Parts: sequence; structure tokens; C-alpha cells
Amino acid sequence: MVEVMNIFLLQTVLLVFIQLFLILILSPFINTLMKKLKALLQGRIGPPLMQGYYDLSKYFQKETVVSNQTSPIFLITPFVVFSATLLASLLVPTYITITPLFILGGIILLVYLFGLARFFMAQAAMEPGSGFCGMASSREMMLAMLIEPVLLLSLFVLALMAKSTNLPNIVNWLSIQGIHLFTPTYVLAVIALLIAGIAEMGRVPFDNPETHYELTMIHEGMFLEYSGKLLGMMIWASWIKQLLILSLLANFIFPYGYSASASLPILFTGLLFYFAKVVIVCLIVVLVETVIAKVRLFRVKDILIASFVISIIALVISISKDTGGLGL
Amino acid sequence: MNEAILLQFSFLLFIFGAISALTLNFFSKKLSIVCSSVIGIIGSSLSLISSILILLHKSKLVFSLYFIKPIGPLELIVDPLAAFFILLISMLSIPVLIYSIGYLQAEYMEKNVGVLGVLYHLFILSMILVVCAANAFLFLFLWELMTLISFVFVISDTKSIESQKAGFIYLLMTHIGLAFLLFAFLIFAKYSGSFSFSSFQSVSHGLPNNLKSILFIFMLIGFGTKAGLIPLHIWLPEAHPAAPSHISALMSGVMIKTAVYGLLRFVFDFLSPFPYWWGLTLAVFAIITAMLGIIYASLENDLKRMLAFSSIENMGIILLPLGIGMIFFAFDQKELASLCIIASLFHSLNHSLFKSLLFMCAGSVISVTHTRNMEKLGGLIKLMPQTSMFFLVGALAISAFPPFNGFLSEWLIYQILFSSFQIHSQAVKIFAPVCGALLGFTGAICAATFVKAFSSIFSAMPRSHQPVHAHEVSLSMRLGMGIPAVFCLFVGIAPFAIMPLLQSASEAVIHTNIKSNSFFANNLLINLGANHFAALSPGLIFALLVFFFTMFYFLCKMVGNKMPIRKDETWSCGVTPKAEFEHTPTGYSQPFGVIFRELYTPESFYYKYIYLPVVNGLINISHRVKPIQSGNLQLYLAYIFITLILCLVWLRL
Repeated sequence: MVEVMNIFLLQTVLLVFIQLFLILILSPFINTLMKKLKALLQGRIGPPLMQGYYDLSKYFQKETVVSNQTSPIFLITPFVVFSATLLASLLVPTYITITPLFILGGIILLVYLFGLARFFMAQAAMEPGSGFCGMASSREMMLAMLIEPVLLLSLFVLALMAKSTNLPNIVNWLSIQGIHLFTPTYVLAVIALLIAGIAEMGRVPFDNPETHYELTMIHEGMFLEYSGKLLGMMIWASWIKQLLILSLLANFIFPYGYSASASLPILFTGLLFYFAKVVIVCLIVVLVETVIAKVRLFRVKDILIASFVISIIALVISISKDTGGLGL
Repeated sequence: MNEAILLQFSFLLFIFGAISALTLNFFSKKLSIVCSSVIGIIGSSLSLISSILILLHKSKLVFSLYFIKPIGPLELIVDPLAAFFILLISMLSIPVLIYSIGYLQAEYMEKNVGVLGVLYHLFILSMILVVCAANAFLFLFLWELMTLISFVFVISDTKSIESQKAGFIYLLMTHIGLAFLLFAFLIFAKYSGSFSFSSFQSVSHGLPNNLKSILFIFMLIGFGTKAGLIPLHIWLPEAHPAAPSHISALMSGVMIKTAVYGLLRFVFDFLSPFPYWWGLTLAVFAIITAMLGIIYASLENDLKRMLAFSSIENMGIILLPLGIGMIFFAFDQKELASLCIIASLFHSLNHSLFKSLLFMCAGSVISVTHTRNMEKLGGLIKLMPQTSMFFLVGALAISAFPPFNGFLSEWLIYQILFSSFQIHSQAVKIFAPVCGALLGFTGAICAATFVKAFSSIFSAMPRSHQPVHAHEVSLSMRLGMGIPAVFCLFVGIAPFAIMPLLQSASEAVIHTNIKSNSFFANNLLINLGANHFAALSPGLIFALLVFFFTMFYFLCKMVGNKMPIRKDETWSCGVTPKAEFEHTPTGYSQPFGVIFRELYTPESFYYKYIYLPVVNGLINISHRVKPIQSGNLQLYLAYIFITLILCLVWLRL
């Protein structure tokens, strides 16, 4: 009994480390990949694929200058944001249907961990007393108000189909449905989730990560007073968050090709499938970015309300077709 | 019977504390404050211990006072449900009393502190007795006493016209609520022939269904007024800010929770079985209250009014699982219903912790800066580092972020909303997940509200001369804020310490026990039929957050650039940064105002469309009745004569 427990513990620790390593290493690459794909679609050459790592190493070499108005909260925020995001990464299934720590929590914890990170970011942005940071902070919180219900409802619809709020259970349930998966409920819920996911990542048409005008940027605007290592941590954390949402979308849109067990070759194919799925979702996001322009700030509400309505329609369909407790 | 003796002793101590506050005031104000507070702390600790013992032993205490013929036996009964609310009251009373030692000395030395001390003790005592009362007459008497004492606190600032107005609205609204409760009790008494709660309970099955629904509506209006359910909330944002801050902490922390007690006691004990639309009605009002309450809070610049609106929001969040629990109960899902009650009580406990903490922090800020306007504050984090940390803890807890306590109760509420798929009603199946999304909506607005509050009070530079000379508050005030702050974190990491208490209280309402496999030793696990599975590990979340934080903090120090962090001016397009360049609280909430344009209704909306029509109607009716009141004596004699004849005729028939 003790030995079984030990093996279980060992496996868990191993899976935790693989997951953390994967997310930490892959996130700068995926961000650069999106930039590259976008550049290619727009007929530009784009940055080299290793640009994300170059950027990070540059940030860590630079001197850190902070505003003299700030308190220690400003200095610890990058680490709070980074740890909350990293903790969230243990909840999201990537290449394998079980997450390393399934006991930790489910979709609600995921959304609230992002919320915790956002709270500290928005607070830190107010610390230096700069007008630009403050504006970005207020706009980010406004966007969060609109995104959170949409994200939660679309996740709720998918969770109701699987009758569990734990992400591995949901993904597992989706993966064993086969062809019966493609019901109107599922399709609508995934569309709503895609819209909410793009908004949560802070990409066009909601926010533009490429812009460097103080008045137009929202998410990046909060980092204006950060520099050096602290800026590096903040940016890395937002890349990680982006990868987590991409993984979530990838696994909900294509619930196939997971490693079923922890043996090495199967793990390897699982990883390959995972990478391919993420790249496809990246392509979708980049295509949306290329053909759609950024909308005006207060028009963002309309898109998100549309997504909310789509989720409600998905819910109503699932209920009206509900026979014998199956959420189809 | 140890619990009984402890509880009686605590009652005596509260009375003794009241007397000592008054008498010692003649000698020295400071002595009066310190002595009565210490006696109050001992009394609260005794009632706290007693309530925990009752909850753990699941015992039931009965104190019979008198038997008055038309009213029935005057009894105090302390069952686990009442004990839970005694726990809430006495748990909060201790830090508030510690806080008040410093707070009264800083703020109220020119006032009559003896009277404040007397009222404080009577306020606590009346709240404890309200939840014990087992007789409608006694209950209403104590309910009224509680209201009147808090009314005196509200108008304690005699110089301000606003607080007098607030007191008037408070008195008016609570008496409308009282009238509805009185109606409900009189109808009950007519059927049962006695005012005692046990007779109410025995007669409940014999009541006609329509009458029961009317009784429920009356209870909802009566208790909803106290709870601040929108649109009955109009007194709350006026009255809570007007009271002294330590009393605001108690009013928001526990007094409005007595409404939750009332609903739990009367609906589940006296009116069951009931149809499910009752629960749906309550839940709909609750979610509207939560949403509108926090939208108002986000646009408010007055610190204490903002906290009062946030209390309205939290009452919505507390009543939401209660409504859903009633739905489950009506569909005979007893286990889920008791989980709902646990969630509701858990959030009541958490809300009293962090809301009292926030009100005490607000009191500290106001006592050193003499303004409640967030526009005029700023930069206090450097002058009051400890107060600002306590406020940050409160802000994180109320925004329901892990690893603090608010997150756990909201997580439970999400889970019970999610379990609604087990109910065979399509309306509920659609309503509950949408409610979940709206709860997320309120959560996000709450976070924004508290980022705005914290940053505009504590961050950056002072925006007026008022915060410039602020200083850290006295030790007793910091201690008073520290205790709830520590408990916010403790409950958030180890909810299992208080889970048995919550379970015991919910068993007193719904006589079923949740299967022991629902809550495991180290994780919060829900496994309630139909494969519904959810897990949460609060301890592990905290441990991992701390681990990641320390690891990356030190890793980051070791790699890369080794130069120390340099401090320099904030970049302000090349000019010297000034406080005027900052984003103000009004500016911060401006985008929220734009997106909530359709939902945001100013205060006058409720007066114009709900209260004024009722008032005008009443005035209209009195105008119609006026002609028969001529003041002529002969006419009145004629009325009496006609009435007499009609009575005789009626009796003859």
C-alpha cells in the first residue's frame, strides 16, 4: 500500500515537473510563432522563431528602474502574477488527459487565479501614479468584467455536458464521445469559448498586443513603469497565460490524440499532437487578427454580449434535448 | 449544562459591562472605555465558547422565562442554528471591542462615551437574544430593540443633517419591514392560538397553501428589508456610513445577517413543505441584488458608502444559495439543500470577517485623514503600512481570490449552482448556470471596485492636504484589524476547522446529514450523485503559491543583472510628476459607468418609481377618508350609534 502511494506520489511529482517545464519553455516560442504566422499572412518576414527567448534574456540583463512613488507591492507583483499563472498551468490539461494535480481545483479556480493575477497587475499599475498606467488598469478591469461571465458560462456549458467542473474530467468526457460529440450545444459552446478566450488573451479585436502607443494599449499599458527583470517576469507570465488559454481551446476543439498512459513513446506522440493542435488554434487566432480590425473600446461589450447569448443558446439547446440526464 | 452556564454568564457580563460603562464615565472617560470593553471581551469570549460547544455537541438549550397568558411561554431556545449566529456575533464582537478602545479615544473623546458603551453592550445582547427567541412576541420585541439601538448609533453624529436624514430613512424602512413581520406572525398566531414558535411549527402543516405563500412574501419583505434586498435596500447605504466605524463593522458584519437567520428559521421550520417558485423568487432577487449592489459600489467615491453597497452585494450572494437550497428542498434533494445552507452560512461567516475588517480599516483611515472621499486621499501606504496591508487582505478576500476565505464560499456556491442539473425543472436548469455566470460578473466588478478603492486610498501621491499628515493608528486599533485579517487567511487555508460547525448548524435546519465522503480531511470534495465531481485543495493552493513565489523571487535575484534596483521619477512625458496627473477614482470608474449605462439607475429611481407611488397612494386614500372626519361631536355619536345597530343586526343574523 505504501509502495503504491509512493509510486503515485513520484508519478505526480514527475508530471508536475514535466508540465511546468513544458509550459515555461513553450510559452515564449508560441508567442513568437503567432507573430511570425501573422507576419507571413501579411506578407512580411517577421521575427526569428527564437525571438521570445532573446527578449527574455535581454530583459534579465537590463538594469531595473522603478518609480520612487511605489511601495513594496509594486516589487512583489511580478512574482505574485507569475506564481498565480504558473499554478493555473497545473490545472490545464495539455498532452495528457489527466492533469498532474487533479485534486487542486477546476475551472472556477482557473478563472479566479487569472483574476488574482489581474488584481495585482491592476493594483501595481496604479502604484507609480502615472496617468497612462492608471488608464490601462481601469480598462483592463472593465474588460475583465465583460470577459469573466462569458468565459465562465461557456466553460459551464461544457462542464454541464461532462457533469464535472474539473478540467481533466471534461476533456476526458469529450474525448470518449467520438462522432456524437458534434452536437449544436458543443459547437456553440466552443465558439463562445473561442471568443472569450481571444478576449482573455488580450488580442485583436479586443486589445492589440503589438501596439506601443500608451493610449491604445490595455494589457501592456499596465507594464509601462516596469523595467528589467520585473518586466521580464510580467511579460513571461502573460505569455504563459496565453499558452494556457490556447491549450484549453485546443483541447476543447480537438479532444483527440492524448497520451493515455505514462509510458515514454506514448507521451512523445501525445506531445506532438498537443503541439500540432496548439499551432492550429494559433493559426485560427492569427487569421481572426488579420481579417478583423480592433474594435472601439466600448464596442467590445457588443461582441462579448453576443458570445454570452451564444452560450445561453447552447445551454437552452442542451436542456431542451436533455433526455435521461444526458447533456446532449 | 456547561454551555448554559457560560451563556448566562456572558449575558450577565454584557449587562455588567453596560452598567460599568455608564458609571465609570463619571470618573474618567478613558477608564469607562477600557473597562467596559474588557468586560465585553470576556463576555463575548464566553458566549463564543458556549456557542462552539453547542455546535459541536449538537445540543439544545431551553431557558424558560415567564408564562404570560395571551402570549404564551416566553422562552429562549438555543439550537445549533441559533448557536451559529451567536458564534458569528461574539466572534466579531471581540476584535471590534479591541478596536474600539483605540478608536473611541481617537475620535469620540468629546462625546458621551458612557452612552456609546451602554448602547454597544445592549446592541450585542439584543442581537444574541434575537436569534435565541422562541416566541413571536419576544422575537419582535428584541428585533425592534436591535433596530432602535442601531438607530441611535446612526444618528450619533448630531451635528450632521445627513446622518439625521439617514436615521429617519433607516427607522422608516425597518418599520415597514417590521409591519410585514408582525402581519405574518399575527396570521400564524390566529391559526395556532399562541405566540410560541413551537405552536407555529405544529400548525404549519394545517395552513392553506395560498396563505402560506402570502406568509412567505411577507417574511421576504420583512427580512429582505433588513438584509438590504434590492429594491428594499435604500436605507443601507445611508445608515451604515453614518454610524461610527466600529458599529458599521457590526451592522454590516452581523446585524444584517439576522435576516438570514430569520429566513432560515421561518421558511424551513414553519412553512415547509413549500413550492419551488419560492426559492426561485428569492434567488432572482438575490442575484439582482448582488449585481446592482456591486455596480453601485464600483461607481461610488465615498469610502464607507462603497463598503455599504458592497454589503448589499454580499447579502445577495448569501441569499442566492438559500434560494437555490429552497428549490432543492422543494424537489426533495435534501443533501444538496443542506449543502446550499452550508454555503450560505459559510459566506455569512466569511463576509462578517472581511467586511468588519474593511470597515475598521476605513475607520482608521477616516480617523487620521478626516475625509471619506476617496478623491482626496492617496499615498497612505507609506504613512500607514500596516493598515494598508490589512485593507489589502480584506480586498483580496472580498474579491474572492484564493487563498482567502471568500474564494471557498463562492466556490461552494458555484458548485451548488452547477448541481442544479439534477433538478427536473427546465427553468431552474437554465437559470442556475446563468446565475453562475452573473456571479462571475459580480466577482469581476468587485475586484475592480477594490482595486480602485485600495489604489486611490493608499497608492501613489496624496491628492489633497488631508492625507499628508496621516500617521499609523494606535496598537489596539491595529490589533482589532489584525485578528479578522488573520482569520480571513486561516479560514481560507483550513476550512475544515469550521466545517463541522457549519454542518451542525445546517443539520438543525434540514434534518439530514451530508454523507461523510463529501468533505475529506484535506480537500474540499463534492461527490453528490449523477457523477457530479468537484475537488478543491485550499491548503495545497496556498502552499504552492508560497512555494512558487519564494522560488522565483530568489531565482530572479540570482540570474542575470546583479545591479540593485534604482529608484527614479515616474515618467510623465518629460515634466515633474504631480498628484494631478494621477488617474482619479472617478476616472477609474468612468469606463464602468459607460458600460453599465443601461443597468445603472441612480438612487432617485427607487424613490420615483417604487416608493413615491406607494406614498402618493396612501395620501390619496387618506384624502378620500377625510370627509367623514368632520370634527362634529354629534356626527361621531351618530357613527357609534350606527355601528352599534349594525353589530346588533349582524349578531342577530
